[in-house]
Amino acid sequence: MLQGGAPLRCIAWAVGRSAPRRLNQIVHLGALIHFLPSLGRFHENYVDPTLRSQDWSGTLCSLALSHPLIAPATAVIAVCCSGLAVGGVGQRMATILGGASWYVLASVNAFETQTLALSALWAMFWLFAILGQGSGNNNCEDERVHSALASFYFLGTMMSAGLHKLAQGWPSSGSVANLLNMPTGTFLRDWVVSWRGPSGFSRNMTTIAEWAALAAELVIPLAVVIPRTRSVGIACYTIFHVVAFSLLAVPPLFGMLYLGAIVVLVGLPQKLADLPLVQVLSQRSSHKV
Amino acid sequence: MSFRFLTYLECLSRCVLLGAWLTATAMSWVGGGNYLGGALAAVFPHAKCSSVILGHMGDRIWVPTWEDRQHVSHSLCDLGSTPALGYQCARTYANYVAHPNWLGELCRSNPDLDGAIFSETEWLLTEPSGPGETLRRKCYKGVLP
Repeated sequence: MLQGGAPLRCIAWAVGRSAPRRLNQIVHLGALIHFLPSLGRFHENYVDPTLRSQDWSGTLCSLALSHPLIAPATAVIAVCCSGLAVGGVGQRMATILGGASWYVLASVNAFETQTLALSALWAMFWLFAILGQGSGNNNCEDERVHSALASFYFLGTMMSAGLHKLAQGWPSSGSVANLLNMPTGTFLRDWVVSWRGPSGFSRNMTTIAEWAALAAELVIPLAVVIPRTRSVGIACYTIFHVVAFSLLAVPPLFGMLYLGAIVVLVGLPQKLADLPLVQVLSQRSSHKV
Repeated sequence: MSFRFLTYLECLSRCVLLGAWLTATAMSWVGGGNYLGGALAAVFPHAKCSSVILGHMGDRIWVPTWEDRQHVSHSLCDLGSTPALGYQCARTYANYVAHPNWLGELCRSNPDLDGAIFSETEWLLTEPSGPGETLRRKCYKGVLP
């Protein structure tokens, strides 16, 4: 193989035209990032009495306790499948097996399986398992349906989060102040927290923040859907997530899901592939390989 | 003929599965993120599938193990979290995490702690003291200590 072939192949791989396939790889990578630290302490986290899923699934918990190999085997399958999927190998089967394994593993140990991030994980696994990876051509009907449904999920979830906040008394619930009580954060968060007075954040501050969050969650999905405001909507979607990552202790999985959402909302792989420089690199890569 | 039949079957199965996916998605929106909960409850009788806000946490009052305390101490978010990570407990679903009455509701939702009084300040300042420590000690019956 000629020198430089590998990097060029990597670029060509990264900008392939299948948004669903890239989304699936990102989601699997997110799952690995999300769960691996826990699996790293498997001997502590998946044994009795740490095993604590009676609340969630007594059946799974009993099985895991009576058959000690179930949880480790599930973990191995999940990690292997996600590893394969990230590498683009057998993505559909890896997603079916890996997705089911992650779900079981999460359920066995009472992982909160219904968090906003994990729900998106299950949804994307399921969607890919149904529709598969398509032909690798974005003009393929399956892939357009896939991208549309994934976008529908991400935007709908964002809007429903806003509606749930409304039901919970936002924008005057004071929840933002409580959220900022979480200790760790970026410099931006620390800077915001430094505004906190001895009696906490002022009512006005938290109300303004809640109004802003509500407005973002309720308006951005609509802006993305309407063609004329799509670009602005996606830009605001990005800003919203950057602010959330900067201010709140959100898990890395959220970052991966944001990236996945951008991939399908923007059609990022195709956009990248259409860049002249990338086209030249891809051509050189194919010639060398 | 058989090819058409298989194609038809494949199409049908996809439609059914996509219908289920859309249903689960709609359920998650209505219920606030409870994805697959209904399906799981059908399979596993003990599964919690409550879809209301507090149902997310249910009466799962465990906190992470001692080794993970640094991720979760001084945090409101560790209720219902995994044994391992602060990751899990960090929910941007702010209304779930930070509802002022949430911890109090949690105490009330547990029969053992019925009537307990919750002190947010106490919670924020208290760390788990050992492996498997639960939040029971954070819910005090009667007057606050």
